[in-house]
Amino acid sequence: MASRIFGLSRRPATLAALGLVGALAAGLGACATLATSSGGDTSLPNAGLGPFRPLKAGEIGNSRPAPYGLRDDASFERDVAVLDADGDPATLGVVAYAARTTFGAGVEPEPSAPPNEIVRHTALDGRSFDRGPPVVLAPAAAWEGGTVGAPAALEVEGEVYLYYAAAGGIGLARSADGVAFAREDAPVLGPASAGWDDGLVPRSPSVVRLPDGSFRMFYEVALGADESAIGEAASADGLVWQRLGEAPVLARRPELVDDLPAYDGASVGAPSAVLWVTSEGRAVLGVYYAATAEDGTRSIALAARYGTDGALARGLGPVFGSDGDLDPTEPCIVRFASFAFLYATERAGSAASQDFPAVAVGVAPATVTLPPPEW
Amino acid sequence: MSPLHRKPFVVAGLCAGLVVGAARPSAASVPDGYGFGSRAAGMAGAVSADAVDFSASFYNPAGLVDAPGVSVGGGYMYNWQNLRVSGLDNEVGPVHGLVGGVVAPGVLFGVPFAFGIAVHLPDDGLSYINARRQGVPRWELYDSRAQLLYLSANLAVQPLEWLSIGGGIAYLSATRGTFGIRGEANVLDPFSSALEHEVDADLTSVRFPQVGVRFQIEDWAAIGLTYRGESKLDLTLSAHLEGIVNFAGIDVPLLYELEAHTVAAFTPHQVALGLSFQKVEGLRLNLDLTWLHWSAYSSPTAEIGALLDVKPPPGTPLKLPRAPAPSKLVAPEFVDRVEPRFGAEYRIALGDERRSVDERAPRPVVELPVRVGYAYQPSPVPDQSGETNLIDADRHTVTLGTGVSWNAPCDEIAGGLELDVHGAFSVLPERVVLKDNPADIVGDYRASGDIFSFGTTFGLGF
Repeated sequence: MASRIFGLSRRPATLAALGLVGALAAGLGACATLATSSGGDTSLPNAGLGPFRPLKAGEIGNSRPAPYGLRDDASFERDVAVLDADGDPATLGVVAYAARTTFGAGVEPEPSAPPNEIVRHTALDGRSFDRGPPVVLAPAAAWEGGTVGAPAALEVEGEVYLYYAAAGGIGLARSADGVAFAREDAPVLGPASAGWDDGLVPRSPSVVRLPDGSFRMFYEVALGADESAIGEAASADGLVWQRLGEAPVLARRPELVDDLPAYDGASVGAPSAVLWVTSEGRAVLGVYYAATAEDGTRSIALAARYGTDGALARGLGPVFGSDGDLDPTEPCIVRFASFAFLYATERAGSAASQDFPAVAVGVAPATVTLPPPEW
Repeated sequence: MSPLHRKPFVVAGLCAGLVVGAARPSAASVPDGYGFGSRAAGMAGAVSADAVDFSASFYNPAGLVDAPGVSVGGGYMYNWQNLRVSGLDNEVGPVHGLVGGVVAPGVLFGVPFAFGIAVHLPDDGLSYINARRQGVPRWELYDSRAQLLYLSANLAVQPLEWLSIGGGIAYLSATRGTFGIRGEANVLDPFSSALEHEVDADLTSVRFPQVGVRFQIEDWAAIGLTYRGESKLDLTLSAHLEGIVNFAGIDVPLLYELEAHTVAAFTPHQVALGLSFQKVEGLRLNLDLTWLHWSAYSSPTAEIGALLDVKPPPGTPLKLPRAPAPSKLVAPEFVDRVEPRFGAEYRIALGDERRSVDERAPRPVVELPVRVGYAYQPSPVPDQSGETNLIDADRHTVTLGTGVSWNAPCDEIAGGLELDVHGAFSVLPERVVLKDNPADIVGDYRASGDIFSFGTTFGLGF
């Protein structure tokens, strides 16, 4: 062997071996050239906090045009507060309180007119709301200034607490059956007498009850024509409130974030507070809110904190409405067993004739398959 | 008619989806994660100092020159991956494919040398790559790397009786391509649409060097040292949609361009040090330590640039999506790791010893090898408490292997026939991910899993 200058092993079998390999490779190469997906996209973790996709046709019933759960070009129903009807996340029945505007005979409906009624809808499936809702609240007190709106509903030991915005501040009405409400004589949160929101009227409330039984409210304050911020207040009984902090709990971010304008660089408002517990048992207080960027685009975003106190950390991006031009606001979230619904007020469409408020419904995770509509 | 003709409304979205969905990053190569050949896999891959068959083309090319003769091998392996997050199976696809190779030793100018090639060929496609948005959870090191072709070609020489040196080039395949649509789409009468689409995809390769040395310490031990180079593919996929959308008689010119760039097929620099103790006849006790330069890992997130140029006439009820907002890539910050591997092989001799016609050392007629192994692969992926969700966990693997060797059955097959099988079971202990940001839409989760592997290899030695 060593005497040869060049030798391929001991036998001509080398050629046979190479031939075998070649034939093998040729045969295998013919098996396939386009691979199938390698999977890995099933049951991935998702906290159900968003992003929300708008409901599609067929996912909402009662002749409601998807994604709108409420869409009325005469009374402009909007700004819903939705409660899980039985408190059981496994069932989808909900009760929704919506603001609307009733116009007198002969008056042309005007979308920008302030709401003057709060009505009560129900939906067996969480989104196909009934029609002909009863009015549960209308302006009656002088401090309300003829308007009630932006309801926030909360079930407290068998009663429904309905917070609402009026001209003089935030009011409270309570009901044992969710239909007949008795209001407090005065606003439970009026204009501040000092602080960052001194003299400004709070509006668009959202209230949650903390595990210790106390109440926490988030509210919007207009700081200018195009800017608002979110404040926070606490209460032991839901009636007497104490403002928290010396600054808004959430304010616009004019600075760049990762070298890009922030999605809430111009304004934040319309808070909607939600409590949940992570899969690892950590309690979270989250606040969905309307976020307006410097370019005027508006979307729904989320900020949250572990526990009940401290700064709110913003999410990386909006959770709803960031790819459209319908300017969603006044979010409300209801979390069910395997998904969550978001209800948001936005324009009823892009066309000029659709420039009135309606309530769109979104769902997260976006990949979820909803049970058939029921109404 | 293409299905695309029927869905003109979704052309833009589909276009984007195809591009994003067509580029999946992968990490390392199949032999790294699942073994290469049943003998090596049965010993948990601890063969850097003890591989002389076609698997040496991956584990240590220097071993090729110690092959007793020309040999060819081939086989198949299948790996079931049961990877879970918070108890739910993520249905990460199995890894399966064919392996094979050839070793051809000889003499050149009086110096023993050898040539070897080896291949892993996925049997359901040559290459599949996908890229996901940043933040989307994915089993980063398991969900796609199997679907890449691996090919290695090496040369080895033995300048001294106790020293072997080898090296060569390894290839990984990957895809790159473009997708384009042009024409006219009629929204109200899709069947009258006239669209042309064009897909231009290339199977391309990335190459990386590998070298190895092997020291034989008399007849009781061997030391192997192998270097495998880093490789990655800068993958750019582009989509181009140009045409006219006819909406109720209104022609709307539309131009949509999208380009996605990602780094795929990443294989880190690796240095493997192997020891093989061979003092007891028939027994091999092997230890490998492999250093992997994971800290060089590139972000698997696709950088996406999009342009949508459409000017609908005033009053046209068209809702146009905003272009995807650019995102700032988060560095993966993987950590370099050292993986220990242990392997043992004992060959049970049956029958009388037989000398082949080419004067090799006499061997038993039949040998039954029994192999065991263990490997620990600490996860290189850091805590995913931030924006990214590159799911991974440490991996413990126990392997078993056996087979049968029929030595020199006839003059034409002076080496022998070998049939090896292996099985392996990997456990990925639960790893808890707690998010820093309570507004993180993924939230807290737990990752765990197990992998069961089986394979067989047939060898023919001349």
